[in-house]
Amino acid sequence: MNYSSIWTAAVILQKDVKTELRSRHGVSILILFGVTATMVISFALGIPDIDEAVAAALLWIILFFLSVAGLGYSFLREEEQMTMDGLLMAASVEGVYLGKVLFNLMLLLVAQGAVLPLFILVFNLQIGPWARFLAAMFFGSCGLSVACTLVAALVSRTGAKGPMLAVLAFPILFPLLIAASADTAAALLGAAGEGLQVLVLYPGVVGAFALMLVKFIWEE
Amino acid sequence: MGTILKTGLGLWMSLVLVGAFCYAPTAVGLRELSRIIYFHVPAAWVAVLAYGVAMVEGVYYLRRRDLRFDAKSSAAVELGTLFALLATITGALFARETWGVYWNWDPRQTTIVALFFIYLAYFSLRGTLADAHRRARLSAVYVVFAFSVVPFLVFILPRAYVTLHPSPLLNTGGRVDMNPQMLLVFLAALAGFTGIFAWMHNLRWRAEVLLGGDGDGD
Repeated sequence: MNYSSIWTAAVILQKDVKTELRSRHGVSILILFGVTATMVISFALGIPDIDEAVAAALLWIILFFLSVAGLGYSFLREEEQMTMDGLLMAASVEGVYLGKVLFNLMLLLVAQGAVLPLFILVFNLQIGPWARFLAAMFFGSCGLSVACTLVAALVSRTGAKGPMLAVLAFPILFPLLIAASADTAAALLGAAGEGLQVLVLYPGVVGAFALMLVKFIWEE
Repeated sequence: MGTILKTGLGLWMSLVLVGAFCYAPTAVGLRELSRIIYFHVPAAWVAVLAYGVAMVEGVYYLRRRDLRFDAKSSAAVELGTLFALLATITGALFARETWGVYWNWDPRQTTIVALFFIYLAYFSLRGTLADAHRRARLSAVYVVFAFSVVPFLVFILPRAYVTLHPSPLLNTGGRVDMNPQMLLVFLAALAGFTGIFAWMHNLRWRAEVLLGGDGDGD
């Protein structure tokens, strides 16, 4: 982990964005998943007015499944096209990981740009302080991306597909999801919450572990 | 030597059982229910200790690449799952009798469930990997990575939520709210459970090494 890793991360991000813009495969899956989940929940509940705490929990359940459904592609695609070895020859593994984290974060934020307005609309939510709500969304997404990207790297090496990412990522994301839904509920109610420090600390702590461990994933 | 240790452990645990039910007095307000601490708390302690062992052995594997460390790590996870289950069930029974419900997502219940999920995810990961060294390496990465959530589970979340759980022995005040007889039996039970864990762990990891790999005989 040094300056060249950060440079690598920027180059990887640029490469992934360019690839994504060609097919728009990853981002469209995330948006469709989020929209579908929101509509299904809204339809099943049938009422526009739900409790703020329930709305916050539902939102983070959607974001959790959206992440584990969509963020697995980052490494799986490299493995399938057999480009991962090339990447690792050209760049440090920490740099590749960081680049993928940034790309996944970008995917999540773009997807939220489509899903959040819909969610707020169908559940008729009144956002208390917008800054707190958006801060919870942003730092929560950083945590989702940091944790899911490392677990996605692990899963890409197992040959397992499907629900594996959800099973492995859930225990890691458990504290983040609790804190994020508590803090989002507080933001919706306009009350003083104390979850934001967890949301800010989480990507830092989990990211530090990930940077320490990521080199072992591709080492034979 | 081994026979002496095993016999000693058997005698020790027999004394703990007698002590827990006949020697130690009951706590005010909890009556006979208070005897659960000699079994529930040591089980929870061993569940956490097993995770620590699994993590440290995982780090050793990543450094030395010796499959014996992987066997030690995965054996610790197996036993940790068992003790986490025991702690969860005994805790839920206690909760039912004192708080009125089996489960209320008390921070400590949340923590033990999170630990349980880590253990279960670990086995799903191992199940997908056929090559012994790759399985050992990726399992070690996962078990060490999962350690990054421990500070959140242990220090941050329990303080953010109200708890009904009796305060733990090592509480923030640094004082022990137990009479000397109860404390004696409690510490003896902790030592006994730790001894049982050490013995079971030793048997289990050596069996895995003999069976070759993950204990599935291939």
